[in-house]
Amino acid sequence: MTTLNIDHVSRWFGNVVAVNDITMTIGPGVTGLLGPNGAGKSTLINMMGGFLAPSTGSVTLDGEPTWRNEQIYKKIGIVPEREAMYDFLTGREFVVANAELHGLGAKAAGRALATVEMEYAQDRKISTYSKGMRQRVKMASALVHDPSLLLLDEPFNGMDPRQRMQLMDLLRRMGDEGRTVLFSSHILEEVEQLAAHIEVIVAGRHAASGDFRRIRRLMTDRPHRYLVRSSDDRALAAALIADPSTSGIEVDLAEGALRIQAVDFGRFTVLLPRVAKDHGIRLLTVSPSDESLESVFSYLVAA
Amino acid sequence: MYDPTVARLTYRALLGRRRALILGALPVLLIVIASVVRLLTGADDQVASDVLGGFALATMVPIIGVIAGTGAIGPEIDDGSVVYLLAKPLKRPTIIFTKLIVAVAVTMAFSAVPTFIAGMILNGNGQQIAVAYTVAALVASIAYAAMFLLLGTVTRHAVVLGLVYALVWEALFGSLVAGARTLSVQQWALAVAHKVTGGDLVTSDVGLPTATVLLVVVTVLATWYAGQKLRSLTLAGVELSFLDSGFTCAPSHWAKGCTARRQRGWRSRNRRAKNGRSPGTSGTTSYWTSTSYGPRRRPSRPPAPACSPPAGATEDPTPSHGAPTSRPRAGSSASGGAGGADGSGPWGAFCSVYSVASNSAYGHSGSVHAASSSRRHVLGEERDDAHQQQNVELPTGQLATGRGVVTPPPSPFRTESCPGRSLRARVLRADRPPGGLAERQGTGLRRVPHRASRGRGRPRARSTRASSTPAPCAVPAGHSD
Repeated sequence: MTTLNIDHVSRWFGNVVAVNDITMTIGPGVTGLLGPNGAGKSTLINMMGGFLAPSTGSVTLDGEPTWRNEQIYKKIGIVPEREAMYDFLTGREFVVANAELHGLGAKAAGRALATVEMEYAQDRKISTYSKGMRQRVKMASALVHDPSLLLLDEPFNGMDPRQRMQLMDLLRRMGDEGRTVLFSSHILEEVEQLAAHIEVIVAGRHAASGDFRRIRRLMTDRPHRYLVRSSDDRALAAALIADPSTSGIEVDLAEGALRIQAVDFGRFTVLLPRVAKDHGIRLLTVSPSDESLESVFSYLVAA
Repeated sequence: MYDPTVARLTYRALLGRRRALILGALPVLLIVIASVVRLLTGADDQVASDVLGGFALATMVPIIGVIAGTGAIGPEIDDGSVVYLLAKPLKRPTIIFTKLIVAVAVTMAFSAVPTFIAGMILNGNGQQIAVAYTVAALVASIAYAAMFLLLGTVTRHAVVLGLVYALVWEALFGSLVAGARTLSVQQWALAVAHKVTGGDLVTSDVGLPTATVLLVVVTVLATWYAGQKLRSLTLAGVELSFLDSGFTCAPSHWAKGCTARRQRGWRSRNRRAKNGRSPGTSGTTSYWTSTSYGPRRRPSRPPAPACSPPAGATEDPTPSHGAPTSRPRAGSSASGGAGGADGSGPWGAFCSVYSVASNSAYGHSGSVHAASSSRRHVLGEERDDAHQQQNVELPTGQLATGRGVVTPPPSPFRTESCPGRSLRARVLRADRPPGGLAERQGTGLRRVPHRASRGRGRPRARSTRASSTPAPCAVPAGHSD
């Protein structure tokens, strides 16, 4: 049982704050670190992994600082985001080398390769691997010493859906075994599928923390905006605004469209086609206009 | 102190790639030269000494030292694969020491051995010349490898710096300035070689005691320091390149284009400045994500936070054409807080700049409003960025809105991240003119230059996504075409 403590940690580069006064505790199980690109996720993970000193605050692993302390790597397995590996080695050689650096042998390496199901390609050069295969070999190299804390920086980047599923299964299994697994992602669905606990980082700050269902609810319950074109915009607007699921409708004359703000997502999606049908209005376009991650985050942050 | 696995990885990295070819080319060249000289001039001690001293020791050994010394660690740090070594319960000085051993061994193998062979070819080791230069090459290998390993650890320009030292300092200054020879690995090695052979053909400008002490000090110091540097080697993610561009965006800016601004690195801003366009006013939201930034690369000039409102930009509506004149102003407009242009000093940039939507959101004709929530206002205003702006200093915890200064409701964030400093906020005036782009331009106000929407009225709803949303926070107020 390993617990990672982040206590009032800030990190700045020159005059830029990358991580701003974050306090969190990461315990056993799978935790997702969610945030848009550039939010400071990697900086935070680097500090957790002892590759970056916090400018203020402390990062401790079971009470020991992570910075300038090589002994923590007995407990930590790190899967870096960067692709670069020792490409001139075969997968097996690479994992064996990692095992040896931990004072272990080829047996541990074989076990790790079996865990990530990479035995079939273990004798090929890493330079010939696909992105997903590289990711799995990186995983194997991190798992070789059976770490109790696993740090993964954007592990699903560039993986195809099948590989993604496999890796998710693997991480879920690790979490169920009582390991502390922390992975970062900027994709909500990934985090949602995998992590029961989510930490949200936005612009270097800790925006939200907790159960994914709560955060997800916050995100889906937010006002949704739609762009709708129809055969009779004004009649549709009048009919829709009567329902409590909408909070504002703009008739955009220049665009010839309605901009609708719905506060009750579920109800509105049922309402719109029914209203249109009842009034004999033909819907030409219905498109959500703020489904981008940024708008979701900005909503979450404003909440 | 020595780890066989690290040694194996280093050795394979050094000899497995194209580097081995370069390492092999110089020794082959030396032996070819030696053979040709021998054929043309016969065995001559002076000629042998000149060839070995001038080419082997002065040129080949340092170059091989540079390749082996920096190549033992530099590429790994540059591409980030050194993480796999560092994330192990292994003392960092052990890694350096092991890599030093490998670098020394490779340098010796590729420099001392060919030197000996060339010496034998040139004059059959007459007057111990071959042995003397071989000893010199062995001694120099150790010092060069240690020095260049340190260079490889501390800078990504290690190869260039190493060659500058070897070829400019030792060869050029060494031949012009006598004092420079005292600080030359080549001369120290020659002093040792002179002692070993005792001949007159191999001489050095440095005495043996000085040479020995300097050799030992340089080697030990360089190795120790490289170990210390590796202990505190920091790896920053790729996003550092974004962060380096100097942004601190308020979370409320996320949907308003700070995304695009953030991802535009300092390099693109410089490029645009060179092209004669003001960085602050360029509204093309080209995404570019640099992933090639190494862990240690920093911008040469600290760029400025583009989200800060411009200091004094309101008085200067001059369009900026031509880099030289526009650059200083452009710099300040894009950057208010970087160097304390607004008087807030370095801490000023830490403060996120909050832009608060005016409460006249959705002020367009034909709007149908239901009961308004404050959240709807915020969202409703996200898209609209043609506001007049002005800078105000507000007390901590207060935000400016079109209706005046308010204290915001509690949020997960502290709105003030800089103790003791006031929050810089931007007021968006409520009395902006209604209507579309053309009307706004007619009043001298300026929408953020925005290719997608220019001349087409309101941007379409889909274009409000970050990919094409202009960055309102970066646009100097009152700045017009």
